[in-house]
Amino acid sequence: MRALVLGALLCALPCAARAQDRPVLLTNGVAHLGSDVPQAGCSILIEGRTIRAVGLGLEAPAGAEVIDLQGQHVYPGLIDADTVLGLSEIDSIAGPKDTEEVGQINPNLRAELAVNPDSELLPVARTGGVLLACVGARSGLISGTSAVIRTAGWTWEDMTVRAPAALMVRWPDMRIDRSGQHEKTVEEQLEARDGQITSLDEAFANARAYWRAREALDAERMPGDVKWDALRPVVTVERGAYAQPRLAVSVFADRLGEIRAALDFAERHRLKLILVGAADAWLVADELAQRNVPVILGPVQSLPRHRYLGLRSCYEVAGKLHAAGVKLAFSSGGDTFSVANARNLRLQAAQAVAYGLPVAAAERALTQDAAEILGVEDRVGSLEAGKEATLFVASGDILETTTRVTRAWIGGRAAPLRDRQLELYEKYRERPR
Amino acid sequence: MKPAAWILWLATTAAAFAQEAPPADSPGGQLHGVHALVDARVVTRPGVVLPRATVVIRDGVIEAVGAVSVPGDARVWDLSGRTIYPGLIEPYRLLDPSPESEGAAAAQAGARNPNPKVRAARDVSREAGLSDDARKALRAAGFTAALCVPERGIFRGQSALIALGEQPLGERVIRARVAHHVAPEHRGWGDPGYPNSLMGAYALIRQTAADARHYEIAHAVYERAPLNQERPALDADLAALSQAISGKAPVCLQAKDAQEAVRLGGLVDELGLSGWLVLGSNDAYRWIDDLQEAGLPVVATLNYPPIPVWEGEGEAVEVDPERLRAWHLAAEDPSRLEAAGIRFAFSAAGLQDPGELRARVREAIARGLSEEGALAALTTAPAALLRAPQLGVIAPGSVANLTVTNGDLFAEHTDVVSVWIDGRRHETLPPVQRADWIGAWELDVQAVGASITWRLEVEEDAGELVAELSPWTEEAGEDEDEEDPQDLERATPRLTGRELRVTFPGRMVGGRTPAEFTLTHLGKLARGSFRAPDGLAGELNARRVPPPVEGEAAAPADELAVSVLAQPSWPPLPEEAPDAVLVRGATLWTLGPQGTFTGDLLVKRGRIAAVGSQLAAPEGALVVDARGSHLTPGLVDCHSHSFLLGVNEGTRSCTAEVRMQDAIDAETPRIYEQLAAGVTTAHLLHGSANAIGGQSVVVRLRWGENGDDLVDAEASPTIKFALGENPKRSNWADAPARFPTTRMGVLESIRERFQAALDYAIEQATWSQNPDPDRIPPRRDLQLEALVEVLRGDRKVHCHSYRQDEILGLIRLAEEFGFTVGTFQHVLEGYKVADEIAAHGAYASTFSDWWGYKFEVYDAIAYNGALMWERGVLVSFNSDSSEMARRLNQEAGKAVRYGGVPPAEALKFVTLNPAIQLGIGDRAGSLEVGKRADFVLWSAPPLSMRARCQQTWIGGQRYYDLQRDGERLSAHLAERDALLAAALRARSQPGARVGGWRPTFAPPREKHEHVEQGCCQ
Repeated sequence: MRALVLGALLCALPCAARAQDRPVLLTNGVAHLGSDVPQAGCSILIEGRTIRAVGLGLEAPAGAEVIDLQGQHVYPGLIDADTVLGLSEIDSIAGPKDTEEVGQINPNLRAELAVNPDSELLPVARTGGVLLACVGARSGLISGTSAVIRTAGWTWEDMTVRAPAALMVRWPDMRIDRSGQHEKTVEEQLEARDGQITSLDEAFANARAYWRAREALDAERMPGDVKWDALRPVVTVERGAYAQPRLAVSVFADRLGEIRAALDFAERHRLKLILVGAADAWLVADELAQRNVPVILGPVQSLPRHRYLGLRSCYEVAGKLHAAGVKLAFSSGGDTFSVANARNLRLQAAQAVAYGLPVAAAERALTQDAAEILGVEDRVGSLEAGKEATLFVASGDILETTTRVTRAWIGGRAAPLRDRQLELYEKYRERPR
Repeated sequence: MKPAAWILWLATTAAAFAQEAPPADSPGGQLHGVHALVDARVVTRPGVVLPRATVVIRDGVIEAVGAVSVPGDARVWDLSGRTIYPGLIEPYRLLDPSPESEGAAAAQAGARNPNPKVRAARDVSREAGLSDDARKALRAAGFTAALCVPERGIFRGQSALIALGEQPLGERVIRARVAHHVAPEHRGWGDPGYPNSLMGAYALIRQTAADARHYEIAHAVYERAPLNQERPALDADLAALSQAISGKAPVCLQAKDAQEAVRLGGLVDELGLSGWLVLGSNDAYRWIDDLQEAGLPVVATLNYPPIPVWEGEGEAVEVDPERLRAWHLAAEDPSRLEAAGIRFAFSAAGLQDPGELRARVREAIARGLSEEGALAALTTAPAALLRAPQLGVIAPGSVANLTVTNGDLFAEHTDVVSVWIDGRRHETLPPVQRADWIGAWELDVQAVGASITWRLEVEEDAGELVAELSPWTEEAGEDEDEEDPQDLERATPRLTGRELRVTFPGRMVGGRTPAEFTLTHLGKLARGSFRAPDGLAGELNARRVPPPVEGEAAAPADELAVSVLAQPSWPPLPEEAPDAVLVRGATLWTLGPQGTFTGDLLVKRGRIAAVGSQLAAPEGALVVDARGSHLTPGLVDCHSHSFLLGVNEGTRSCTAEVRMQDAIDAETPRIYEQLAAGVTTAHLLHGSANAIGGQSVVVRLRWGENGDDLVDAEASPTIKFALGENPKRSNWADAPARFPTTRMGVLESIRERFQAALDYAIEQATWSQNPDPDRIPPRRDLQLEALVEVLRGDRKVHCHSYRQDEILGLIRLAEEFGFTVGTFQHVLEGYKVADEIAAHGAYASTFSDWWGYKFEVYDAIAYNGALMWERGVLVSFNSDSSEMARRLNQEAGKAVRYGGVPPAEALKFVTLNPAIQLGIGDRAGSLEVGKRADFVLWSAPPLSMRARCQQTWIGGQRYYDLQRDGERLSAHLAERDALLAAALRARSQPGARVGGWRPTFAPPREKHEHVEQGCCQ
């Protein structure tokens, strides 16, 4: 089983695909390179699976297909940093839904194993420029590990960029109803809540003890445990070889109480923490920046968590976190309802831009910063020579609704932008009157 | 209850009472019936105090009061030091659930109403009533009579005014059948019995009122002419309502909060009832003007919300300012009722112990209620309400119901010493135990010519009581070490009943021999006397010395850094409407013949007066400089549930009688939240649980108005229909089997109802053309009447639909019955049958791009709006979500992205087109002269993701202004901080009320549950 994990880790690039037959040179594009002003008149050379060169006035290699973009914009593939793309097809139907597992502590559930490469949701997501996604299950306290996938590919292995990408934890609700109206007493509520935190602590403590013992015995004689094996990359075993965890723990926590508890938890167990959801994170923005905790935001288009802090407070979260120096990524929502519209990821960022997030920061949060948070920045997330050619062309500013994605490449392969919706549209548009 | 049912009930539940039990005691020993209560302070009625008077009681009735002589046959009671009040009256004592009420939830025995929630024939005077313990607790609180109220159902039955003494029930009933009791009770989704929703409850009330009127006529006609017509059913509940529905007998309506009270006040008016309201909350401050206007008396409960409590930063941030305000303002509420001139009485309903009521009243007095008003609310006001003039005052001829205290009724240390009920005395102080004496007492001794004060310290030592007597000094309690043992006398007191006997040296009062005094325990006071063998005698009055308070006394809760007004500082109410407004220099998206251009908009008296360039400002006009901004018509949301207290009456597959207007939540800040996003009008629909849902309602977002005043009376009446998975109940695992479960069945269930409506219309028309006094007239059916309106074209069907087959099916069904479907809602496969929709003449209101959340929307496409538009269907985009409602302008942009609709046409998807679909296209939706001045200012082109709403106007009145919003929000935050600090202080006070609280009329389920789930997609 560990070998399998390792295999997935090493599976950096699409393995079983037809590469781009010949080099492609995109010319006269407005390239979004992560700086404040996009580069006009830019060319990008794609060879095989890789961006070979980015710059002004590139020469087309022999046999290259040259595409004049006529001033259209080129972006790195957008990353939906928290979603269930590929894991769920139709919200109301259990059959094709692989997001909820029995049990509270499931570190060994690997998201990539259940990704359906032929999900109809994937092409729809691509039309919104979502070429990469971090996917995972969402049940229990430890839901499993997430995987960064490409939104096109022949198999889940072909699609996987990095797995595991993070260990996913869903922080328990910290709220206690002290009004007397709750069916449980305050003490019962506290007991239930703290019991959940104890199970999380216990999981990590057990895993640590297991690995210390394993390394001390220096033998495979000790009986294995699938759960504690899976926790190896996130626990720090002081006497062992790894002083730093190799894998981040992404903790879903929206409210301030949960965020605080998650921060304490990360401190307690020396975890590399990513906050997910994080609606209230702006209330502790400086602390997050100081502790270098990145944030994967839940939907920006949402209702204000605390109206008394302003009706736009939910739209301003990203801008405030950015201003404080917190690294950000966006997500389409992470549930089985909103997954169908992962294509609107860019609009979540656009909403944040209207309420204070600089455009360049929004674009980086959709691409490069998300890649860094998810540990895939060496391969994707920017238009740079040597990076994987996962990029798209758009008719204009992707932060405007009316902009269309016109072409896309994923891992150097042209990704189809025809989806079921377009096909039905064309079919019924042709229906005789 | 008819005699037959009565006997049946006796036989099944009370067999033990079927025969009179033999007497258990020997005869004789009658209670004396004539009493004179002398030397008391007597409050004969609120505001009238006789400092020293006598009350004479004869055979349960007050014979005389004042400086009157004591009749020779009277037993004399020395009540010096006591105050006598008119006996307090509890006007709303809900009965505890009993087999009679609970068991009958399934069905009622006998000829009763088929709906077990209609139990109007229930007569509390025929039931066991309050238990001994319940009566005792009420007496201890000072009550002498209580209205016993049936506790369950919608038409709950009739109450009885009952004396709280210990005679047999028949002797205690002051009045039977005082009022009918009605409550819009609803138990939520889990209750399979119709109705389970708020609006369903209102619908049942209306239909039952109509049925009761019809019942009376039907039986009268049949009595006269029983031949050749069907015998009308016997229904004890409808029969019982005959006086009430004609306004001749009072109806008491229970409201869980002020908003509900306002709505019920409207219902009283609508149905021509008379009566009063019971208010289960203390939030009249929200709707005081509307309550005043309703003009109905109110029974106010005083179950103030507890002090909000939180621990730590994480919980503090979750404390909603509205909760803080509700807590802080509750005790002030009675004074607002008083100031508004609303007649009110108090009830202890909702309090765990009715004995807490006086403390609540004391709080209300501290917050501005007059003492007279407070006493009236417990005496004369309930007596008037319950039409019992013989109660509530101490006057010759009144019932001898008295409440006797040892001080002012509302003072903190006052106890109710006894109550007199029907001329019989009831001790109300609890029996005294040894522990009740322990502690320090200040003892005033009045001997012949001497007045001295002692300190009496009662302690327990090795299981024995020990009394220490010493001369009183103020400091005595604090430094006991310095007590001069010379002055200390120790004794072993004896305890008998309420009395404590202590022997003490006579020299302490200047006597020679040891003497003994007796003290009678009266709560926080004690009274007594002594007599020494040498003839020396005197009186004693003792007062309990409170133990020293630890730490400093906390500040009073109302000492705040800011003043908390009834109207919150935020969300703010709109500014006064100016007579004229000129908006200058904006890019105007007129959506009319003038197109889009930069110019001015002139508004006069709420309507658009001119749209053009370089318009002149009329005298006194408000001029808004809007250069750089974009101005569009107000957004219209054709599908919303955002401002509703309930969404589905899901118990039946047709509920056309249900009206969403009855469930409007005018208090939800979502109204303001959506104003801040440019929404000015919203269509609030019934949910999609039923093939035929309820009557929907169009509201204008006039924040601050009550539910009925939010309604857009000019919009066309609508009704919700639903097809597909929801009415089939495909996605609810635990739904009980119900027809229909197929798409064919859904259409047939609709066809059946239209057939019934058609027959009904013919029946009614035939009757009205040729009414026959010897024939029973047809019954009014509010459900079928709504469907007849549809058949006539007066009520527009808005049909939740997804798949093309069902859309086409309803079109053909409508054509069969000769009406046109108004608007297909959602209509996500509308693009497949756009030609058919257009040919039929229906409109379409869809989501811009939602899809994939269930199987029937797997073929939904983002191009749907554009494709239907291309094919000539009038299209709108709606939200069906409180979140999406905040960005409808962005949704319109998706019609440009998917299908290339031109921007101005796309903007119509969220303005003019939904306005047309709601029948207000000639009044709203575009910037044209004569239309309502409903408009929005944006910071950027409205379809741009960069556009932020700057101002929202409705009818020429500014309801949202970004800058004002920010200013008021700062004040709101300051108020919240001050209230948080006050709550912190308050919870550290002794006896602070935290937790353990239930709403007075607790809803069986959370009110917003179904709305939050966005049930309707």
